[in-house]
Amino acid sequence: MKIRNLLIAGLATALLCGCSSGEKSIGGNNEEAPAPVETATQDVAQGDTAQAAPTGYYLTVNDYKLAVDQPMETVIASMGKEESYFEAPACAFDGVEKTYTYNNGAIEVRTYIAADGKDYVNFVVLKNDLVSTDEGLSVGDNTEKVKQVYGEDYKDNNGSFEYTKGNMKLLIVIEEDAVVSIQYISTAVNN
Amino acid sequence: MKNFLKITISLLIGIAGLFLIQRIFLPKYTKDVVEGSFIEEYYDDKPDHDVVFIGDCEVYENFSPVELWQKYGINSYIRGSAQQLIWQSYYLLEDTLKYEKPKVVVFNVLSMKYNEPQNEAYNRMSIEGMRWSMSKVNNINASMMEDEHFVEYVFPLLRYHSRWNDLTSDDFTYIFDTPHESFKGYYMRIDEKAASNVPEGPALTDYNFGENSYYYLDKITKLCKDNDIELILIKAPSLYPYWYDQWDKQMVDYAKEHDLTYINFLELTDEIGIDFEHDTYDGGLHLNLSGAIKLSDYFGQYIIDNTAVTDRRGEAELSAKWDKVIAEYNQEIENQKKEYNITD
Repeated sequence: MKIRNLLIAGLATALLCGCSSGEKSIGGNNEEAPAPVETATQDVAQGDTAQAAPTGYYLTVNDYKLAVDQPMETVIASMGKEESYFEAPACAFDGVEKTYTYNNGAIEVRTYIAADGKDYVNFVVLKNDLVSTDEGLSVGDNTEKVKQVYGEDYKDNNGSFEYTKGNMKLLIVIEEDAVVSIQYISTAVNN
Repeated sequence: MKNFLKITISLLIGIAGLFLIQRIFLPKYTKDVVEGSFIEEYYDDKPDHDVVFIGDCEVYENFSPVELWQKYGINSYIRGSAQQLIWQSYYLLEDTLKYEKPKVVVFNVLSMKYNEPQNEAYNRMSIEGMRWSMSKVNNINASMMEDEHFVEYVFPLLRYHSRWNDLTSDDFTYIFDTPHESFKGYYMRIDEKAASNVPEGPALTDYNFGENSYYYLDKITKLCKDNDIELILIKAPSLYPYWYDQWDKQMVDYAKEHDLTYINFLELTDEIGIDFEHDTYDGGLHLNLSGAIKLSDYFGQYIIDNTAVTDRRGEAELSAKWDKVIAEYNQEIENQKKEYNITD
């Protein structure tokens, strides 16, 4: 009888082992997804004019403050229809990474799917000099201009500049002393 | 003595019960995420393949072993899995060589971009189907994320117990054996979704592949050389994820330095005849059957012309086995025609 009780107890322990609320679920169709990040702009709906400032760097496009971790539906409602759209389904699992392009190809917005199943802004990329950052930096500027605009408090990432602010990092990629790409990156999904 | 017998029987019943429960809770990968079953399916195939592919979805969704057999008599198998990392490819190759010695191994180099473990769910799809050996042990140790535990690979019940509310009838129907979902490792899709607006990759701060990636590429190269196997490095013609020129140059240089063949099929799509309007089912990430046939036709000719692999269609026993696979393959085409409402 004792042995049987022991086995039952062992089985129950094995089944319950690790049953904490923080445990990640695997083995279903959905790959593990990050929780949505609270941002100051999350509740901005189409037509709202009183948009709060995001905590990190952001890019103002037609009076809309575009930032990482914003719900993509809000971005679409505020920035209008994209010029081009691409979606990449995840290998094997459900979920689609989406890429939206705006402003004659100058701005690219890529998304991630959060645990609530909705798309959020993963990163924003400035690809050419048709658009400048709110602080005044453009693709093509030199490294001196980067330091002049964003200061000396940066991490050297293989010769490129990485500035961290709030829930994001601003990556300014340098090739031959010139800015070739400016990237607003969510730290919720990218370490 | 009587007590000893009772204890032994109770223990055996307990262990059998735990084993049974573990089998129930293990994901069966029979409907939606069928890719999870591919690694295990290999062990049911007679291990005398002349060509073995290793790598990620860019091998198991782009090349059709059935086409290689039907057109050239090439007996091949794809040991592919979703987001298969390079160390997983190495240990799967090491595992494969315990059973057979192919003439050619084909490795897709996209995974060079990952220098560290990425994701537990993908890890498990690449590893759990392996039979236990030191290759599997080393694969687990090389692949685990920081919050993963080795014991959970040994006793998967510890990891999957929370599936209790996701269990379906399949978990009981296929408790000991799951149906084959691939065709010699190939994942078939016949539907179409044209590629358009495929974005270039954003500029990177460093284009050099990581030390860990090169370490395992060196090990794959050495393992093949030590076993007198011709290693062919390829980049499949998938348009996304973006394959940077700087990455390509590193592979060209590596192949030259190690006297290997490297084929970037992205540069050959016109020659192969791939039409990304019709030959892909997901907008350019993977080829559909039409595209896989074209790519396999092209690559099969290369293999026959340039390697020691020969046409084996004259072997009666092998041909009979392939006939069975071909019948299932053709049936799957018909099933998908109905599913996707495709008429000839």
